Formats: sequence, structure tokens, C-alpha cells
Amino acid sequence: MQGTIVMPKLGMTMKEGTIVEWYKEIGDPVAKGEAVLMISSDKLNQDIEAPIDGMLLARNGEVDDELEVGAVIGVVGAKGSVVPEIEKNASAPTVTAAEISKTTDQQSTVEKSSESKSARIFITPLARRMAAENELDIQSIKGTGGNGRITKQDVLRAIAELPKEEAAVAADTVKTRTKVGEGLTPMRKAIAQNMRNSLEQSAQLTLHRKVTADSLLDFQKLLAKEIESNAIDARLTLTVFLAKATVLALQSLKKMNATYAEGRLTEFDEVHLGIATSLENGLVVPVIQNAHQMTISQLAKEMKTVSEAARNGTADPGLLTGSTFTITNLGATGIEYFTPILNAPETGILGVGALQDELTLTEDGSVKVSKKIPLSLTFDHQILDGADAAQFLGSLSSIIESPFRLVL
Amino acid sequence: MKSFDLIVIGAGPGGYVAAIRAAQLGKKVAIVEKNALGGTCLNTGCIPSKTLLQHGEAVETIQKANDWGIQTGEISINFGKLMGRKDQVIRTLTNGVDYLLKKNKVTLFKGTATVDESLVVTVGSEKLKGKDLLLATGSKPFVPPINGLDEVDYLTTDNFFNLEELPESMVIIGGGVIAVELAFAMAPLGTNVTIIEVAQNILLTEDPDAREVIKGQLKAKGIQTITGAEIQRVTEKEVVLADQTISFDRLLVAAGRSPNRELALDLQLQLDENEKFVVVNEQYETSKKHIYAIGDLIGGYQLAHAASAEGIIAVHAMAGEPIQPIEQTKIPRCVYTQPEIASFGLNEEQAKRAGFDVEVTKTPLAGNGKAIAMDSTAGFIKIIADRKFGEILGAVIVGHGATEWVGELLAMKHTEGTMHELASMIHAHPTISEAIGESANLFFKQAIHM
Ligand SMILES: Cc1cc2nc3c(=O)[nH]c(=O)nc-3n(C[C@H](O)[C@H](O)[C@H](O)COP(=O)(O)OP(=O)(O)OC[C@H]3O[C@@H](n4cnc5c(N)ncnc54)[C@H](O)[C@@H]3O)c2cc1C
Repeated sequence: MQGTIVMPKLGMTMKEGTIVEWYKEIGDPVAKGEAVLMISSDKLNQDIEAPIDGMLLARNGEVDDELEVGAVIGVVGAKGSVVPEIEKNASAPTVTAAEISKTTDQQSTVEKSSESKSARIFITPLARRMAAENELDIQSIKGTGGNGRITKQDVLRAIAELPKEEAAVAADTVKTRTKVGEGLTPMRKAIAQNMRNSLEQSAQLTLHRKVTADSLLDFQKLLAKEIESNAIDARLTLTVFLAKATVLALQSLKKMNATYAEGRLTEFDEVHLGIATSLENGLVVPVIQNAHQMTISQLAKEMKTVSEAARNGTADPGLLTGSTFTITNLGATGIEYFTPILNAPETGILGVGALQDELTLTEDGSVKVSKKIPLSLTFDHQILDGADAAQFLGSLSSIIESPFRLVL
Repeated sequence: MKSFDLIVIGAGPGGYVAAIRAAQLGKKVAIVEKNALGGTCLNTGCIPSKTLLQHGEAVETIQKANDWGIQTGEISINFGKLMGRKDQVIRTLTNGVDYLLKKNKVTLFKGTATVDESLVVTVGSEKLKGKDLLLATGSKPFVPPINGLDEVDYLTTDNFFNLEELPESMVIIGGGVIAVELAFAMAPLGTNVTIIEVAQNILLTEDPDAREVIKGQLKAKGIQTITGAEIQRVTEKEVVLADQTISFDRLLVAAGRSPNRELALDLQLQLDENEKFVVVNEQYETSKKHIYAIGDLIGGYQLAHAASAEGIIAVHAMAGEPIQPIEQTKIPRCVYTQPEIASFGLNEEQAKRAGFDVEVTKTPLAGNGKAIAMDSTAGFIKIIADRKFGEILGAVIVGHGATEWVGELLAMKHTEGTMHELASMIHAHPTISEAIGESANLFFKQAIHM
């Protein structure tokens, strides 16, 4: 019996994954469920487990190789059994979610591609490097060496045959252009690609507004006491209240709770709220699914769970995709205003700054100290205009200033 | 008149190999040879010289062994017996060629071939007609015009290997590969050797660092090397230079080789700009259709394995098969001195001129375990590589047995492996070739023992 290990699909948007580390050498015994290698998607690192007991018979890729979702990464089987030729881009016929460690997300099924494109490709090491550098698809290069092997000459020929512009780019690439995220850790690489992609795909504009938080802070104290006396296990941070306020504001302006990608604008009724969470070596955005259905204490609990999971690297992949709007809070670092970058393909992101003490005139003309929250809202100007964004900030502010609305 | 698909003229390493391959491809083949089968290579070149070098090395090994503590008596040389062994080696190999020609049903005609305009080949009373003609007539020693040379009994490599007595002293005019190799062969046997080179240096075709190692060894063997010499004349027992006179027992002129062009001239084939070598295309076809030429006759690297490789390509081209032209950078060049020099490909200069981003790594053998154990640490490995892809562009190996283990680098280059593969390849320990791995890791600034 043999089991194949394939590149799992960790979330809707994942098209390919990168091999980060092999834990097992060919010939090593492996137990079902034991981690064989680590891969990284654009979002996170993930251990991939052996589907059955046996021995690692084949590895179809080295560290840093990118494989399409569904591609066979390795084969586990009985010692001495014959390894079927692993075909490039071949999809595995039998893959269950169980084979993908810690993956509970229903989205994580593997796309089965029906065509099994080509036989094994022979290519010399030098030709492989040259093809990679020039971003040539080796499947499309005709090999003229022994056994149909692709040689340096064949790659040079393929470059010469590229349409002029591409050739210029290819030639150019050789000298100057580096790939986005090249030379970075998989995590930073993913961040680099996401950020660059976001800025390339949208027209980002940030509005800033201050909102008085005195009532909210009073409300927070009140609820905190309530929770304590009812022995509810949840920490009601200011972020939780702001998240709840945001959910409410989003429901009144759907264009802000939307994604725009590949020519399609999708507005959502439900709110899946992304919470940008910084890690030691980067940044992830765990998602609170169906935040619109949650009470404040549910929201508090869920936020705690997902951000801890994200920090520990144990977040299951489904937790890291599918948000419809994102909040990023730099309050703890003392920052006031900033210009958050959209979590593509979302159309809005709210940046929360540190609470500020300000002197304000009360209606009766006396001076009092009041707490203000600086808000920074970045939106995609392709989809929304300044007025929409201002309206959103307006409704968000009025909720924050009348916090009882959070529980109505 | 007998007709053939192919008539090969000359049975050196170019001709006989081509003839056999053509026969394997189903052709009816004739080969004509006026002297002995195997040409220069087997009879007066590679094989006898390497046999004599082996004798010299044996003497030195015994001398070294005495230093280590293996005591022998005085070494005495039975020159006649050594030359007998050399003849035996040659005979074994020429008999082998004869057998292979028969086995492959190649018809051998002994005698000097002439060719007329209608491409009819005449050998004695035989007239042969071939669809294709392959000229593999090789080369002969070049004898420069030197005053008085005509009147003395000098040797060339054509008759040097027939020496019956060990000369007490020998002057070699010429400082190229052949001259230096023969100096290394003779000195250990007790001959007092002097190399006289007109140019400013010896071994001009070789890597400068390699040259320095060899010059050191020449000195250590007591071989005198005179460069930039002005030879005024030669007498029966002396070479008279502008500033000194060197006496000799025997004089060997080894100052290069010139192609055997008689047939090419008869056929009015196009020659190169110096009117020296026959001009051919990538398939080794000359300026005349159906006439091909290979080996020492066409210049390039005048080496036996180059001649054979060219012959093989030529006959495949005649058979209408697609061919992969020979890449000059993949032809190894070997000098069988002690230590040996083996090199191929581009040197640093050439690589830079070709536009590569060049990195040269050099690893001396001084720290190599096997070399130290063998008491043979003179030498180094130099790899010329492209920084971008780690492509191996060229290499120079100086070391004991270098001509054998250069094969590793050649194989890597031939299969288009790069410095990455070379660096991660596991070498056996202890071997001199471990230094190749070191050199490759040095490319990545990760050499362990340097
Ligand atoms: C001392 C010495 C050492 C050498 N050492 C090495 C070495 O270590 N490694 C190496 O690679 N090379 C070495 N060489 C060079 C090598 O011998 C030649 O490069 C090689 O022999 C060339 O092969 P070829 O087939 O072109 O010609 P040749 O070997 O010269 O053969 C040509 C043949 O054609 C025959 N012939 C010519 N004209 C006619 C005709 N009209 N009719 C009939 N027959 C004809 C000749 O008799 C000869 O047998 C050495 C050469 C010398 C002299």
C-alpha cells in the first residue's frame, strides 16, 4: 500500500505552496500522522503528515521549490516497494482532509486536476537554473540532449524564441529584477508579496478622524464589573468594543464590507473580521468568522482564541483567510495616526491608534479632560469615495460615542 | 576498381576510430595506412612516451622509497629491456586495432594512398572508389631551420623511440608539451637533459601557475632549462647559443608538428590563412563535397582524443544523422609530467572576455591527506566558474594522477552540473580528488580545510 503526500490547499486563495523543510529523508520510516515536511502557503507554515505507516519512498521537490496545490510532494509506502514515477503537477487521486495535519477547515479540499500533463522531465542542473532565472516553464522547452534532456542550449534557444518584449524582460531579469520577497523567509516573503500585491491592485486612500471615547470607556468599566460578578471568562478590551462597533458600522455600509478581485466586486451581508496580529517574525491576520452574529463577550473570547492561535503558529489555515474587513491596532505602541495597507482584496481597513488625553470645552463652557481615539481608515478609492468613507467613520464614531448601541 | 561507402586515409586515432564507427553504422569501409596501424599516437606518440614516463616514475618511486626507509641497492637501468617493454606495449595495442578493424569488416589496404580528381584512391596497384573520403593523415615532426642541423644525426619523435642506448646527455630543442614530457621520461633514467627553448618561456600553452609547478620539478630533477635561447648552430656534439655552448650525446628536436597535407594539396582543398591546416565545417567536411578531414590535419587541439571525437562526428554526419558539434571547451588537455597537468575549457581571461562573471577558486594539494601520504603534494586545483549559475567554465588540475581525475570535472561539465552539484557531491576519503570538492565549496566561501 502506498500513500501520496500532496500539496494541500490551505484556504481559498492558495494556488501553490513552498517546501520549507523536509523532516524526513528518503528511506526514513514514518508513522501515520507523523510530520514529514513543512510547507508554507502565502499565509502560514504548515506541517504535512504521513498518510499511512511506512517509509518515505520519494520526495518530489527540494526546499524552496514551489508546487501547485494538489501536486504530489512525496510518496510513503512499504519498504522496498516500487515508487511510481511522480509526474510533475500530477494530482493525487486520493486525498482526504485528514491527511492534512491540523486542518479542520472545510475549504481545505484538494482540487483534483483531471489532466495529468506530462511525463517526467529531464533537465540538466545548469539548464534548470537558467530556466528558473528567466522564469521559463520547463514543460514548454524541447529537450535535445540525450534522453530528451533539456540542456543549456535548449534554454538559450527558448529565450531566443520568446516574443521580443518578454525576451527583453527575461534578459533584464537576468541582471536587475528580483522577485518580490526573494531572499526572505517564507513568512516575510508572503507578507512582501501580499503588500506589494495590495498596493498594485487597488487605489488606496486613508482618512483620519478622532472620536471621543469617554462614554465607551465608562461603558467598558460597567460591563467589566458585570462580567466579573457573573464569572464570565472574557477580557473586554477596548479592541473588542471597537470590533463590535466596526461590525455594526459595516452592516450599514456594505461597500466597506466587500472584496474586489479579478474584476468582481462582492459585498457581504456577513462580517468576517480580520484582526491584524503581529508576530515575532511577521504579521498574520486571523479571522473571526461571522462576527456579526456575536455578542461582545463571544467576540472577546473568539478574539482571544484566534490571536493566541496565530501567535503560537497553531492557527488552522481556515482561520487565516476569508475576512471581509480588517482591523489593525497600533494603540499599544503609542502610534496615533497611520496609513494601513488594505488586506487585499478587501475594500477597507481600520487602523486604531493610542488613546489620547485632550482638553475639551464642555457645553457649559468649562474645560475637561477627555479621551480620544485616533482612527485611520484606508479604503479602495476604486470602489468607494471619500464621502462613503467619511460616512462610515461617522457612523462608527456615533456608535462609539453612544456605546449602549453595542448591546441593543 | 573496388567501391566503398567510405575510404579512410590514415589509421591513427582519428582514422581507425572513424572507420570502425562507420562500419557500425552499416557502411562498407576501407582504410589505407602506409605505416603502422595506430598512427603517431600508438607508434611514436602518446603510447611510447607514456610507457617511458612510467619507467622514469618507477625509478623516482624507488628513490623516494629509499628516503622513506625501504632500502634497495643501487638502481641499475637495463635500457634495452625497457625499450623492449615499450615495443611490447605498442604491439599489444596495434594488434588490438588490427583485430578491431577485422571484427568490424573494415578492409585494410597497406601502402601510400594517392587521390585523383575523380576521388579515385590509388594504393599500389589497387584502385578504390568511395562515396565519401575521410582524410586522417595526421602530422609529422616539424624541424625548424637551424644552421648545421642537416649535417648532424639528430632525433625527432619519429625515431627517438627507437633509441638502443641510454644517452648520457641529451639536448631537447623545443619547450612544448612533448619536449618537456620526454625530459621527464629521460632524466630519472640517468640522462643529463637540457631543454633549449627559443621562446621566453616553456609550456606556453599551459596555465601560468601550472607552468611554475612544473618548472620547479624540472629544476628538482636537475633538468636545465634555457629559455629565450638564440641558437646559432649545431655541431656533431654541441648546440652553440649566443652566450654558451651545450654539449650533448644525443640531440632531440621536438619543436612542434606540421600536418601531412600532401593529399589535401593534391585535391586543392581550402587551407587556413596560414596555409597550414585544412579548413572544415562543423561536420568536418572540407571545401569539397564528400571529402572530410579530421585530426592533426585540421589543427585545433592536436590530440588523439580530439582526432577520434572528430572522426566519430564526421561519419555520423556522412550518414545524415543530426550531430552535436564538438565544444572545444570540453576537450581535456593533458601533460604527463610529474605532477601531471590536466585542463579544459576557458581560462580566467577568456572567461571574462566571453562576458561571464568569473570566480576562480584555487586549492593547493599541500593539505590533502592522500597527497601527503603519497609524498606528492605538489599541485593544485583551479576551477574557473560563472558566479551567476555556478557554471563550470574551465579547470586546471596539477597533481599526481590529474589526467585521470579530471574526468570527474569533465563529467560534471558534460552533464551540465554546476558548482552547486560539485560542492554537494560526496568525495571518497582520502583521495586527491577531495580537493575538487574543497575547491567547489571555496566557490561558496564554505571550504572546510582552507
Ligand atoms: C611524442 C608525442 C606524444 C604525444 N602524446 C599525446 C598524448 O599524451 N595525448 C594525446 O592526446 N596526444 C598526444 N600526442 C598527439 C597525438 O599523437 C596526435 O594528436 C594524434 O596521433 C593525431 O591523430 P591523427 O589520426 O590525426 O593522426 P596520426 O596519428 O598522425 O595518424 C595519421 C596516419 O596517417 C598515415 N598517413 C598519412 N598520409 C598517408 C597516406 N598518404 N597514405 C596512407 N597513410 C597515410 C600515417 O602513416 C599515420 O599513421 C603526442 C604526439 C607525440 C609526437
